[in-house]
Amino acid sequence: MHYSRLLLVIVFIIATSLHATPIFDLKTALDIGLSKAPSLQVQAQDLYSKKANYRLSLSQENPSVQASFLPQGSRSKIDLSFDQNLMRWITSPLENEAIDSQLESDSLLYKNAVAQLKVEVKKAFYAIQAAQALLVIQNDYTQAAQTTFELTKRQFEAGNINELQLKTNEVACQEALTMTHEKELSLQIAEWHLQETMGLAPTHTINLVTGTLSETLPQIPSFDELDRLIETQRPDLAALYAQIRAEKAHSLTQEWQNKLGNLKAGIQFEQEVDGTQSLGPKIEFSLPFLNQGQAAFEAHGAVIAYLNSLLITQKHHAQYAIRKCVSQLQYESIEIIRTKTHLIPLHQRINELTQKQYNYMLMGVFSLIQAKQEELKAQETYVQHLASFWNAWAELEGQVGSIPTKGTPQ
Amino acid sequence: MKHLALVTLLGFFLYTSLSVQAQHYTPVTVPNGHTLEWRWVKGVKEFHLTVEEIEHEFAPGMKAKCWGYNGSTPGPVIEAIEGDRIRILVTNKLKEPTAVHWHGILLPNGMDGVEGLTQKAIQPGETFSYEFTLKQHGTFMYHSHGDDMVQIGLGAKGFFIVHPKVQTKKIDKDFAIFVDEWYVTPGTFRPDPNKMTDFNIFTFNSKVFPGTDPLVVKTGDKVRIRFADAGQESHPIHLHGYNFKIVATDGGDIPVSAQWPETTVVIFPGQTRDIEFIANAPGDWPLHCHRRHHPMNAMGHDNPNMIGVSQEGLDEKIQKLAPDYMAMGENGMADMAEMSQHMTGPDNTLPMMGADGPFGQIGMGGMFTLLKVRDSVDASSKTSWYHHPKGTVASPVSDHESSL
Ligand SMILES: [Cu+2]
Repeated sequence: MHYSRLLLVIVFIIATSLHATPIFDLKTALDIGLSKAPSLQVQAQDLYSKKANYRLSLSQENPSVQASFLPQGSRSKIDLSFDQNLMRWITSPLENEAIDSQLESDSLLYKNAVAQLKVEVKKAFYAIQAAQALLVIQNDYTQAAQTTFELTKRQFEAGNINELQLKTNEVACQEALTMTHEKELSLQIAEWHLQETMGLAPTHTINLVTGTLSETLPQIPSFDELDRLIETQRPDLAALYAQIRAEKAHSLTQEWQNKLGNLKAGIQFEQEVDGTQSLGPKIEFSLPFLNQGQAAFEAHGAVIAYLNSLLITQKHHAQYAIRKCVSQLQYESIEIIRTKTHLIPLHQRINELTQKQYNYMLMGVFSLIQAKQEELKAQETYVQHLASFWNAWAELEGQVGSIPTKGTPQ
Repeated sequence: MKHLALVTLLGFFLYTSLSVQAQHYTPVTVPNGHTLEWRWVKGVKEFHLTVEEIEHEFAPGMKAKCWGYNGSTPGPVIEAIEGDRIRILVTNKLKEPTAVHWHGILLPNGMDGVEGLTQKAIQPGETFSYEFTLKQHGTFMYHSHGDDMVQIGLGAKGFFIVHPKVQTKKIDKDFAIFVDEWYVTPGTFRPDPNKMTDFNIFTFNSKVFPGTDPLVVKTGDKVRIRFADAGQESHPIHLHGYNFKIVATDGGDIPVSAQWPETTVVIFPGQTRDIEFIANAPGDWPLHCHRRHHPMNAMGHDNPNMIGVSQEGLDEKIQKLAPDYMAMGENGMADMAEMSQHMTGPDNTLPMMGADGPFGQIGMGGMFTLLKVRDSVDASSKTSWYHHPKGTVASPVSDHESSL
């Protein structure tokens, strides 16, 4: 009896949880994105293949054996040698360093790809939140336009306005309907875009109830702080530093190789036809007369110079990018606050005053509806500013790796 | 000699009593207004007008910054007698120059009061003296003739009434009413003198109903009502319950042979009209402008026409947008009179119409007042309603009666 009751409760809990509206939050989106995004998969596979290749390049050369049998009558001259290339042993610490740095660089590039994916997921997520809010507002607006048109239709039927006036009014209603369809399309495209960014199959449909854009704005960091974050946090810049280190190690390896040539050591055994045997050590190296490795050395130098200029360029670009983001964020936050504390209350006051005018027959019902539509336009402006703010915030996060500031919605 | 002295004495008494007789006139009653005080100064009647900005109440619930004379618009009535030598001192308390024109009065050109043409402007703070002898009798006006559009537009005008030297007819009640129109943007408190058309406030002595004082008379009284118009529009003023005759214009008396009976008198801008009748029908009789929008207060002139438009089902949709919305005007606008009592409008704005009446709401405002004719007049007559003799009030009939 007790068990069956417990079972009933459990079934009830499962049933209710199945019926609850699934809330799809940013964290879920990021989690899915990190595990499924194709671009990230490509990067990860690339990283694995690079690692394998490095292992390949590090694999030791096997010793070589040369043997020759030269028959002379009933006997043969035997020549046996055993060689081992020694360069690998000498340069391997350097090569290891180069490969470690290269691996670090590649990992950082992967980390960068993860960061960029997060930025893209966040942007796509905010875009949906904005599109959902804008559609709700637009629906109210369009309903108002339809109500206006419905009233004019009744005016026409009552013989109070002519067909020209009616048709003129219908245009506004049709335009509002177009705006609703546009907003629906924007939402649909934003949803496709998030799914695409997250790496979900197009056939996979999820309920993208995302909640609303946060109205709590984080504090915008100072330029100094952001410049410091670029220097310390941006994975792609750190990747370039690591790549420069790798290239320097490569260059040193090259230098050693040039100095020592192709250093090989081994043992040689010879047996003459008469049976005389000799065994002795063997060393082989090339003389750096004609090729002192200058070209190779210069090639490495050029790559390092290229990487350094790339580093400077990217830093330069990042510094301006954050400034543009910050300016955008400052503008958006001012507009968000102004719209919230001034423009919307202003429209609400206008609505109250219009109602008073209506009460005394100083204005008609259409003015009343229109005033409300103007307020909806202000609300739309507010959402647009909020959306632009969070888009710029995601962009800023992408520019500096991440922002150690509380207030970012997760 | 003794006889001669007695005759001279008698003659003197006779003369004085005659001259007293000549000055005996029925003083003008100014609904919502007052008469200007004067004093004798060496055989001259001296009046003193001060033009200034004033706070004027159109009706309880609406006040405005107007310009007027001696604290009111219209200014106080100047009353004098034909033949009087009069002096009018005019003090300018406005912040711009002015001059006062004595509209319709025959006088020397230099006393005509046209700024820049017949005199120097009266600068702010200055007092000018106008002096002339009254050569005629009748209903005249005084009004500003400097920056007329603004000064008259904001209310700088008044009656100038000259009684005949010899009263040839007995008038029991003599009223004076200025007709005018204004534009005050709802929610503001200063009339807009720039308006040329589409006014929204229409006044009797700068008051709107129910702020207009009624005209209280006794049954059988011989009544005169003088109208004047210094505004922009003409007003056909209609009196219920009576025929009257237009007996004079500001050009003079109309000979009896030229008078004809009327129920409506049109007063055009720049005109005065006197009407007379005997108040032999007791009751509460409307006196109002017959332009349909004039016995109304401010209303929207571009409002959509909702007569006959059912809003059923739609009003809820509109309430989602405007929660306080109530559908109005579907069956006419009569419900407005009732509704305006419960709903709030813009600040300092009067509802379009509506006042309590003995049988319900009176759907009137603006240029509307009452002629209250009573068998006996007392202090309460102004505010009390007429008691109708039994069986003299229209009343509903039964279905049976109406089908007969
Ligand atoms: Cu009128």
